[in-house]
Amino acid sequence: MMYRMKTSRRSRLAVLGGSLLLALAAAPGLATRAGAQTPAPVSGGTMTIINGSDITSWDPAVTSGTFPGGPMDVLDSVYGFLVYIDTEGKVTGGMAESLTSTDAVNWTLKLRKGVTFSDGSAYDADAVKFNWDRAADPATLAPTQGWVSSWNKGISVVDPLTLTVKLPTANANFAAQVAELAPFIASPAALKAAEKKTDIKPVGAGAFVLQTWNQGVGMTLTRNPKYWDQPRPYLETLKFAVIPETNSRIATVVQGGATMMAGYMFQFGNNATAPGVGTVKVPMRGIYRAYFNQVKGPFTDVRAREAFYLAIDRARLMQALTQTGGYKPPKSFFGEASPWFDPAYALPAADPKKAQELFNALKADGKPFDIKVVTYTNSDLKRLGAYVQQVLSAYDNVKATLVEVEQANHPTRCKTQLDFDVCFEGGVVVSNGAEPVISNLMSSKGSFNWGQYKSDAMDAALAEANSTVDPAGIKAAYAKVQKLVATEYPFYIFGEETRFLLVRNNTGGVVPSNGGILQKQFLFVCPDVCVK
Amino acid sequence: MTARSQDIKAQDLEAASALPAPATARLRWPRLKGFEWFAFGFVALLIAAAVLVDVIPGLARPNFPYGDFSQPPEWSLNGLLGTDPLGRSILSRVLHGARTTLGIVAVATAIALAIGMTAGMLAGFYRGPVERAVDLYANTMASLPPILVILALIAVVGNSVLTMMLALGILDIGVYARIAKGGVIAQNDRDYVLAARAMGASDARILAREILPNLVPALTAIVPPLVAGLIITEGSLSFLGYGIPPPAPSWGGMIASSTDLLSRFPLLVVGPILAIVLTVYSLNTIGDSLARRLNDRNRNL
Repeated sequence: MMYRMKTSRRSRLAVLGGSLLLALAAAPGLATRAGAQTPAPVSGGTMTIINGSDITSWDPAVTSGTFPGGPMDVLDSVYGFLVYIDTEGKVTGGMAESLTSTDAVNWTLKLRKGVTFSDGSAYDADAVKFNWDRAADPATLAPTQGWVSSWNKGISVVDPLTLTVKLPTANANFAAQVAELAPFIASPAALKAAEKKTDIKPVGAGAFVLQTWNQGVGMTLTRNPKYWDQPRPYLETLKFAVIPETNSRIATVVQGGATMMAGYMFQFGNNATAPGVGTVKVPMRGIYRAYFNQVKGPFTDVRAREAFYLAIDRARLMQALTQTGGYKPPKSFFGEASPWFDPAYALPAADPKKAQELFNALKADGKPFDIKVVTYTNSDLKRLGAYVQQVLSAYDNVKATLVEVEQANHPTRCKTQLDFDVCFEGGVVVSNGAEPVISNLMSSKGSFNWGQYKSDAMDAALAEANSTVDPAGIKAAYAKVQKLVATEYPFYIFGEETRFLLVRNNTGGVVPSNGGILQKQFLFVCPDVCVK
Repeated sequence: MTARSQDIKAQDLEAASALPAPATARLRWPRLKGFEWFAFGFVALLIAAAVLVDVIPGLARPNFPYGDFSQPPEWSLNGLLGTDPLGRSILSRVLHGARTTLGIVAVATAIALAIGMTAGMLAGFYRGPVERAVDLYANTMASLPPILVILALIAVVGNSVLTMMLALGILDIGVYARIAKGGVIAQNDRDYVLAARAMGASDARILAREILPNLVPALTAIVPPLVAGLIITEGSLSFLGYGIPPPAPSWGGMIASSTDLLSRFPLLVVGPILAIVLTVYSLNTIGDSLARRLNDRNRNL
């Protein structure tokens, strides 16, 4: 009894103490401080996101690059992701409830009830099928046409909210691939009404509706009042501004002219600690890469690719690019924290002596190492190219010519015209999981395989990884991939980096997905400082 | 002659002897002010360094790394101005850049002087259609932005050292032609020209032996500031990426390659900027000094 009484008194004290704490928390000063720690979303307000370039079309089938600030980041505002990949690498429902399979062959897409496009038409299974069939049509010129056309014949509309896809072969990564390659669904009526791509009006069911678009300058969007996930989006107005020069983008955020921009810490420098701004890490590892031309030129010989790895200290190369130290050369396509990483197969470290031997051997075989290095005209990439040229010029029997092209012409020069020997890409390629990036980079038909590396063994290993849902099986298949990466050198992996957002310090609701694209329906303006 | 008149005569002679004879003044070492000494000294040193840069003991090669990236200045020959974003000695690159820049502007000036003076002298001597043609060219060139003219030329023939020399030379032809033409017109009616003509001297002889020597002082005073202008134009072109192709060092190119890093490494641009500023300042000062001396001489005459 005494015990019960004591307990009861303790309970009353606890209740009293709790009430006091609640009352104190409700006091204005403390509420503000608590808000700075875990701010509650607030509706209203405007944010401006600065990107380096503008989109060229509102075509939902033209998807490329899920990096923050890329075209898909803009399209997401209007169309929303059908499903997206969260920061843990899991495929998560977006506009759709789920995309699942039990055997990796038969996939079921469940849509949400009551979702409508901003023109009032239903966001249903027929609309999804129409969009995917359109992406599979070569006339659409979708970059992912080859991939979508490999399975769109297996689409069946079960009911307005259910659609199934029967794949020709097992693919455990299908949902992740949809999230990266075919996530946007537009109103079929709007797509049919457009006679050509440039006429497409952006009619989606995403968080925002386009109001004005001044191409190359910026656009203004307002919240979609019919958005399925109310009270989201929290922002009343979302703006995108286009500022090509990195330093100008940074200065604009620091001076309060915009809310955020995506970049890297080395680009921000001291601006990251300027008053009124903060940084938010996009917690996804990405790799810096360059493509070896494996159709013509010196890099058709695997010894030349190995010599390139051996000739340049990749940590120094990253230091030249970023002007900051502390880099370690990546050992593999996968980061060391990845569940797929296999330490048995590592890319070679710099070995100038062995590199020289290989250069000499190539010369003796009538294959002089005379290469064309293609980079952007961007200052960081120019410096990177100059460093490569500087290092290679110290070797005998080596000649490196630097070619700088405008960023907009870079894919044409490298991917379409194959007019390079080694072509450096500027940003990192990010993938939460292995797919679809790994296949895009290394399979024979991969859309990022600019150097046209072809290997039956690699194709088989990637197909093996895709065909199973068993983690042990996937790991075994990716071990084969890593072995091929370390022996055939499909492309040049020279650094790993994580993206950051430079934001005003009252930016709340930063939720990255896929390769760093923000789920913009979560963004809100904090009443107080909420980012350090 | 009275004693008083003798005294006056003696005073006059004394005063007259105190005045420097014109011929003697020309031979005397010029009385320079402090900043003029600096200007002449700096240009002389720069030219010497540009010529001898390959044999300066211990100086790193301009296109090879000397130290870590973007290091601040330190007390060593190669580190005196720090290292650039690729670890190369900025001092070495500034001196090699001086050789490139001075070489280009020297050849460009020689081209401009040779063509401009010849055209200007002919225009001033014969007048008429020759003068109108020279004036048209000079006025046209003066009305066009110099960078635009050079970019047009580069677009046609590509950028190289030779292109830069020709392009910069073309820019100044009109200026030299105008000066030469004015000088010739001013001398056409002078006694020594009329005398030569009366004695049956040919036009070529009159131009070369009677007029040209009198144009040289005026042109000497105008060359340094025009060279300074060319250095700025060359630096601007290199800054814009249309100058000397990398990795060859150029002052403008060095500034351009560091601008994106200025917020993090502000000392990167100090070397090339100092080189441009001091060279241009020195050349302008030398030009002013020569012009002042020329005016003094004319007054004394």
